[in-house]
Amino acid sequence: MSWIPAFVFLIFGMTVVNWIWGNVLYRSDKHRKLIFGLGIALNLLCLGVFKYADFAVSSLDSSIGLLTGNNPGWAVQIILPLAISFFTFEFIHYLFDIYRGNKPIDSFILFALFAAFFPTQIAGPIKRYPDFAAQMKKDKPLRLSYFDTGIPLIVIGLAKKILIADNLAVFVDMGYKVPGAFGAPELWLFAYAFAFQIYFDFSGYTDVARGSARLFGYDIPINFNMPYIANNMSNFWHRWHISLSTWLRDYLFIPLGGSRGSKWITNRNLFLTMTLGGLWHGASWNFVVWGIYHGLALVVHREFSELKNSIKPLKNFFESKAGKAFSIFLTFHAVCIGWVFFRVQDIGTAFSIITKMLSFKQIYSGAAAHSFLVLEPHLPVISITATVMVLILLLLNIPVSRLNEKEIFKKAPAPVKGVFLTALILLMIIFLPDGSQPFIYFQF
Amino acid sequence: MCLLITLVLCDLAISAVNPLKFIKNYDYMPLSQNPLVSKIPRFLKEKNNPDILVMGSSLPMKAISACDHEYAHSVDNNTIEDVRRYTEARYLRDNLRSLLQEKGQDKRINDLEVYNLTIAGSMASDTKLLLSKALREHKRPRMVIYGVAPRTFMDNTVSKDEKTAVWQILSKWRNLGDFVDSRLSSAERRDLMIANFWNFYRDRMDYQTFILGYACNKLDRSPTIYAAKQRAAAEAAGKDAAESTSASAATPVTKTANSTKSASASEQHQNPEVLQKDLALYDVRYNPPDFKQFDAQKSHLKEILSICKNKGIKLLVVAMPITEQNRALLDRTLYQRYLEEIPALTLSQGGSFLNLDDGNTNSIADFEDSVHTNSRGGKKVHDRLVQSIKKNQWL
Repeated sequence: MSWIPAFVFLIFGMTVVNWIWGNVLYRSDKHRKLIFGLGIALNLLCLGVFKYADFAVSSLDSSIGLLTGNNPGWAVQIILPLAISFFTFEFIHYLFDIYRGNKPIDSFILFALFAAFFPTQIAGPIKRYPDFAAQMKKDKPLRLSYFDTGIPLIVIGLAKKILIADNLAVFVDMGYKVPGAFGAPELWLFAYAFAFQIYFDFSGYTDVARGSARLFGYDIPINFNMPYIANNMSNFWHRWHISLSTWLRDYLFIPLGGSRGSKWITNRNLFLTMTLGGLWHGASWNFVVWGIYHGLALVVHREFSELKNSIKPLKNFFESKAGKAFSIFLTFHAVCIGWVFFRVQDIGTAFSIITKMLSFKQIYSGAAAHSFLVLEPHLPVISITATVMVLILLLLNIPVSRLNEKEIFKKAPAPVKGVFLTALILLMIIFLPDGSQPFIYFQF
Repeated sequence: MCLLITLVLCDLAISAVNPLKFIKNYDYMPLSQNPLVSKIPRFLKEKNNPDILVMGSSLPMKAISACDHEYAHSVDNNTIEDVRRYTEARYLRDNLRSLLQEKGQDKRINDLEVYNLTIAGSMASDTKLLLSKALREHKRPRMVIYGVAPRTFMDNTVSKDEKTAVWQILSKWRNLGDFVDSRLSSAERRDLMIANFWNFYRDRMDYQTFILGYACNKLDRSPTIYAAKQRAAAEAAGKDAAESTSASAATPVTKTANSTKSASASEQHQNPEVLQKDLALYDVRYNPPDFKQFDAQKSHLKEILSICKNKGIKLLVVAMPITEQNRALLDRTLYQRYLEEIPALTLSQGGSFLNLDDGNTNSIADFEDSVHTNSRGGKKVHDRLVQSIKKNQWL
């Protein structure tokens, strides 16, 4: 993912074309479907060329190599423009909504602002234009209250990134560099660590984006709602990357037929939606496998829900406190297994890690019998501190999520908020790395 | 608004109390108090302008302290903190004064001052930073004696971004006048601006050092992967040395098999266990060889030479002696480049070069470990240095 000045022309060109196309589509009575289809195809072509051409050609090259034993050596070197996945999805949503009867944005300037609104442009949340257009049309004089709500979001977002995600990143990198050296409990620990790393990284970015937008008086919808207390995979996707999952629902799952058809068709639609959602994350087979995994998990959840509802004792158990806790436990671990595919690019390695995690065949890893490598003193201090951090995050996951649900921070008195944010700022300054890790979702 | 008020109050309170001053443990003491680099702010603050500045790493530092400990009793060579804080070089100063007296060329012989600005662990990049800063602070020595060794140009355990302790303390010593320094990156300019009105931000590295050092001490872990590797190597070497010592108590290390130049075959290292541990540390530092780092550090030496040339300061680069065992750890190509390129560069840029690592100065019995000389070794280094200065009329 790169940024070069020439890409300004790409986003500007796409903005002009989509604005014109939206107006033409809105005014046309005949051939609406064709105009709409061409508009979508144009956006997908752009995304395909920049994001997937290299992947497609290299996959074809490898396939021919497998069949003939001789790789033709085909390769396409195209630099992936920053944020293309996000703004393309916003353009597609714009055309879709106009096709469904919504009014386009009249002013080109406002449309361009919608496309290039800097807080959300790089990694979302993926905006919806009817809501955003309404906000753009309102006068927004500079107000102190914007800072009261915006600055805390920015500080908390940065703290999530710098204090938690970046520290866990060092630990996760250490683990996945030589996964074969570690035992099953340690591989689970790395999976937990990555689960928290990606959550704090991406939700941290979203908080910064929402806070920055708030400084200008804009409200951007939330993207995360305590995903690790989800009690099933469907619930997880209602809490994780909400703007993407709702986009996939509205512009992929429903157009494919949604859940209106037979059980088989609904399951097929779920599976296809998640597989394409996986591919959206990156032009790499591990993301496709991650998407397939989540597609299958949603199908399994759907089938199990029906089964559960037909067996009363099972239904009663899952409605009890213990059953709910078990559901959260199971969902979290299923998500963690999925994160292994997301994190480890080599699918063979990912499968061997997951096999080890699930089989628990190798418990210990250290040189000495009955010892864990992560606890051995010859590893740097981050090894032990990150282990403790992951254990604390695991323990606090549910209680903190419950407090968040009650909006404890929002309701706290201003001085308490001030002290809390000051403490976060001081801690960030102390732990501010020289070269911070880029946000994970910048690469998509 | 509440956040801004709390931040300002907090900064004022922290500045007034200065919790850093209560830290007494050297492992996580603020840099300005830490013996490792505490002589830098002292030197920059002092009004005196020394005639001769001795720079380099712990190799010249130990040679000076070991010598002064024995002959001037002005420093306790056995206390590492004292050695690191020591800014004099009495034996060298007195010998140079005598030399000038013999020549009768200087009327104020007894005013000749030598300042020992050696910093343990410093590399060429650190020395360049330090020298540039000293010159900007209006220090103008007649001569700089710069002690180098292979580690001055190649050390795997040093942070690759060169943000070493010297860099950190000098970055704290910057003032707004440095803002126009073209060598500063935009990130450094930003840091400089913020640090000028936010005390806590300025001291952030000290707090980081404290927290990291405290955690490492309490958890018995190393701060970085490099330090962890170093520690593992030292522990392994310690174990090996202990085993070999217990197996054969009277088999001290003398020299490697290919050693031919040692002063005397009967000479032995005083402490073979220390030698082995030190060699293990140096093995991690030297291997695998990083030629990119060598080239980068060499370019810093070039800048040092250029600075001295432009300011009319005589620069004498001295290759410090190291043991053959230490030398044997070096990659052959790297060592060859060190032997050939450093003198060539020095001479081509108008500096002078003195090789004390030619096997003619010290034997293994002159070393405390694998690179640092003891008092006998230090004296030999000084004597040969002064003789060379006299012979070549470098002063």
